[in-house]
Amino acid sequence: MLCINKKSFLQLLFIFIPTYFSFVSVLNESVLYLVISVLSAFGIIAILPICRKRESLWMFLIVAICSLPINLYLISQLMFEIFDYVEFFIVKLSWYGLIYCMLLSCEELVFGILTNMIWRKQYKLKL
Amino acid sequence: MNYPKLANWLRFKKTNENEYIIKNDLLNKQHKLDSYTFWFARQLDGKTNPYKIDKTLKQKDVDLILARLRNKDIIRDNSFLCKSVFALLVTVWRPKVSIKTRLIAFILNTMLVITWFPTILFSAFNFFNSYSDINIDYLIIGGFIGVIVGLIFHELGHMIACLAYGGKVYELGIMLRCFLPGAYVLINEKNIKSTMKKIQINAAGVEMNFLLAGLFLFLSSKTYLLSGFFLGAAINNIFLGVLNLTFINGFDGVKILSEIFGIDDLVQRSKDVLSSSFRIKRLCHNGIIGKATLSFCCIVVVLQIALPFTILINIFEVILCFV
Repeated sequence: MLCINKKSFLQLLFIFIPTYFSFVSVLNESVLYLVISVLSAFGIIAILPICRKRESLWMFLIVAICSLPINLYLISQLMFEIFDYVEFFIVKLSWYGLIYCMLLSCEELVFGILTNMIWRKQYKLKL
Repeated sequence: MNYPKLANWLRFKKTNENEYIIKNDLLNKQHKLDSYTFWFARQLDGKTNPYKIDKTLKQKDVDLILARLRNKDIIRDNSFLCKSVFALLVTVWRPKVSIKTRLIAFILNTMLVITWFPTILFSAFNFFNSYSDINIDYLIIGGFIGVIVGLIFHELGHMIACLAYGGKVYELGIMLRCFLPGAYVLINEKNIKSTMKKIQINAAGVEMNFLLAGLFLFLSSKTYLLSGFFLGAAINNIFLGVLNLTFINGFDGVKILSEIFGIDDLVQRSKDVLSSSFRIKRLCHNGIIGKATLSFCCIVVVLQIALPFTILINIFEVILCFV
């Protein structure tokens, strides 16, 4: 069921490069690595053959994975600043979930629109 | 006195001497009418008494024609678009579209696109730099008024963008859905082919909310007495904008995502894919692209469940705080 040929698998590994940079940016608290992460996401999509004509789809997946460390970092900072008075863990967790989903949605849309502006001609997603 | 009037989301096409095809853009329906009934329907403008249109007709015949037209949703009797326990939609304004209107809309839309981001950025910067003391006396009132203003301007944003790009605007109204107040705008963007224009039409509402939030934030930093009032309005407009960008079905976020991927009814299709084992197997055997598509569907459907769930939990928590 999960059979992927070798060439595609190697290409798939490249997709984790932006995730690596976003993780490093969180560890070092550096905006520079964040910019590198974003630029590498666009660069990888432009280079990889599997992304050709399906740039929006791959950008959607890359953003979903790549934004994970940054979003968690941002929410933890926000929680520390604003929701520090909340005692119950479940209350905090629900806010965590809501803000995470909101951030992810916004990021997906921003990057989706940018991808659509750069690569105008794409195949429509077949569902 | 209000008389029945012709619905404004209809298109007419003459097929032969005695027959017209009426296309309902709102409900995606199509009906056939004979030329006399069509002529009769065209006379109904809300001001004309239907019993005085053709004096040769008896009252019984007029009632029959009106019943036929009502049955086909060609006419409406009052300003209520929908009237039920959980949904009440009232028409407030039907814009008369002319070249002048479209030109004004184009200018306003261009201004919106250019100004919303710098405004919120500048206001946020200004607010946090000059942050000293906030008078929180009117915070809740400000938030409430901010939501009402935000909801109306959100719909106005959609309407302006739709008019600017040559789309059809049928009406603007207010609604009460599940006892929650709101506003709505009926637009038709099917004649617009550019994806970016369609995205802008769907995003214009959110842009308008962010623009308002920026203006309120700026006012909050400039006045002490009403700083809480404007801050409440700004916070609620930001929340309204961000909430609208989420991937909950029916929200602007899903509509924008549908335009990006060029699929109508994206959420339902994703759900259909995940509920059919045959389609999952087919996608899995479709190589890396199939698996990527499957992952996309999973993310969309998971967000469909996670977002409303977390929103409901948080609303419940807020209610518990007050209790």
